[in-house]
Amino acid sequence: MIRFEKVTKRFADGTTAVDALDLEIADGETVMLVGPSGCGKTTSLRLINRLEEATGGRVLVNGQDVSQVDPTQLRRGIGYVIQHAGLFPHRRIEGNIATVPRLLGWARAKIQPKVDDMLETVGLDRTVAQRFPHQLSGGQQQRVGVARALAGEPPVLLMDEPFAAVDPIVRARLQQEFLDLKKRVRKTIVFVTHDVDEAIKLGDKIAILKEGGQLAQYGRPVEILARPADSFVADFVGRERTLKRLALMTADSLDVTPGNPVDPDADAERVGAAAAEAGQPWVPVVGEDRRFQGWCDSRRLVNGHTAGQLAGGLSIATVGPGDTLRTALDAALSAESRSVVRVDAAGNYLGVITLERIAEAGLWS
Amino acid sequence: MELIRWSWVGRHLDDIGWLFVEHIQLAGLALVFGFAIAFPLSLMALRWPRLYGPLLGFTGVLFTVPSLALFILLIPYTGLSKATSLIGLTIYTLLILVRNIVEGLRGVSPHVLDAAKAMGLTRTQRLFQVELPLALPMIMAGIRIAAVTTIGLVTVTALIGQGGLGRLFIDGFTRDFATPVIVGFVLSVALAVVVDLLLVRLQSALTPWHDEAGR
Ligand SMILES: Nc1ncnc2c1ncn2[C@@H]1O[C@H](COP(=O)(O)OP(=O)(O)OP(=O)(O)O)[C@@H](O)[C@H]1O
Ligand SMILES: [Mg+2]
Repeated sequence: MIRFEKVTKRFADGTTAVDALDLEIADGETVMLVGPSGCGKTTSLRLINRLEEATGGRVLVNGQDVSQVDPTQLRRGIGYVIQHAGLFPHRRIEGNIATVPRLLGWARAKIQPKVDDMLETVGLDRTVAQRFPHQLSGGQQQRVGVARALAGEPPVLLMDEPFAAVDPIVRARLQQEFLDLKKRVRKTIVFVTHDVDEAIKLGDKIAILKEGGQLAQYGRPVEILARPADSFVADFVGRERTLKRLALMTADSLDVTPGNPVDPDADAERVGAAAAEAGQPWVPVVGEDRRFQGWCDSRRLVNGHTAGQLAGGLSIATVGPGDTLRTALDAALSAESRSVVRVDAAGNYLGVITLERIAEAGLWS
Repeated sequence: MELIRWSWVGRHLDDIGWLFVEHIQLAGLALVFGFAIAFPLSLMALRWPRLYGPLLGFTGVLFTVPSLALFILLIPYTGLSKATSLIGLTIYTLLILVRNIVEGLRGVSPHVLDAAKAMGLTRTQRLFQVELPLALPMIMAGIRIAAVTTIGLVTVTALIGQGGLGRLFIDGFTRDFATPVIVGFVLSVALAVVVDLLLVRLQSALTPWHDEAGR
């Protein structure tokens, strides 16, 4: 876990790059730092591995104040990826990737397989191992940068605009690979970008920084889109743009998830099972007539009661094929389940559309 | 009249060989001493950038002192000795070496240095594993210029009784006899060319990444 406690960074020339930042990043989470140029994203990131020293407050990594840890030891346990990859031009790809394992004093027999493993992880052919960085394309170099950062098996990975210097097509591919990678390697990742779309696409959470190094909002992408803290955040994430786009799309353009509906007579046990299978506590209640009757909270359904009894009082808004996604968004936002039920033209239950799905549609279509 | 009297050359092969060896010794030692002084000076100049200007200025002034004058200035202290010759020659290598070492180290990409620091390399590891290897092409270029310059300059020290092959010039001029002059000239030029070629070879062996870059 990484924690910023009232962290301030004031440079010698008086610039306040980070101002009393409080931020907590849980293990295994990917947090995106976004904000306009000069708002202190890079500085915040570099405070974690002590490439910059805080002038106020403290940064904790796994409960330990980083200022109390030897910086070289600290850094060997934290992967770091930068925009231009920063590969060592005089070392072959293999040597670049082996940098931290060598510093950590790994046995040669352990390093070689690790290099191969890392190349595979980032989707590079083993034949590049013997090349020098300049013999690789920009996208390949960026992959090597990631491989090098991961080779020492650090629990934490810091990335500073890693995909900013490659062309849009390569970037989209690297982003997709990043999503796959982060599922496999389970690292705590802090990722700096000035591209909101990238932040929304790649982050579990987003921290939006303002000019002057202040935290404007911190939360899950959908939360920020749905409830921007202020007009700065709303403008920054382009909420208007997203809403307009959603208003132009209809519900039938989205796939539904089954949602595991239960009938009104279902007891706590059956509702619990359905919820567990769906992976979320809210279960739609659908009658024999295939009408949606409301949401049932599996956590609140006590023995002896039925799903139908709980469902009645809750939001029963649904969207049909012709309704816009804007309507769907409002419905999903007002429902505690953070989802909306989709019905067909005749009003029969079809499935569930989640808030995430709607937000994604607004951002990516 | 023949340009070169081969019989003289044949009779003096031993002497010529000795002078040749002495020439290499003087130039080689001057380079080694020059590097040994220039290297720490350069590191200091990088560590304290305010030193760099005055340092270059000082070594620059030394460089502009006419070579003969410099040797003569040293005579009161070190006499007509090998030391005088070596000190003078060493001073001449300094400017070239300091400038190239400093520029070479300063030319290392800040991104690369930043990455090295972030990977957890210590200051010393960064210097020897990253900065020096990357500055090597520039440093080697300095060594080449210094070597060629010094090999030429050694001959001047013949005037203070040293000078390796330069002594052949003095011999030839005083007797108005061309052969030793030509032999001395050809050998010292050949030495410079060969040393330069060897250094180029050494450089490509030491910097394979640079070569394959086609730069
Ligand atoms: N070494 C430094 N000395 C003085 N000021 C600095 C230094 N490094 C950064 N700053 C200033 O601190 C502020 C934050 O810089 P930082 O690099 O963290 O911004 P950023 O959010 O990463 O910007 P960008 O999106 O342009 O990369 C800026 O005003 C910058 O000029
Ligand atoms: Mg930045």
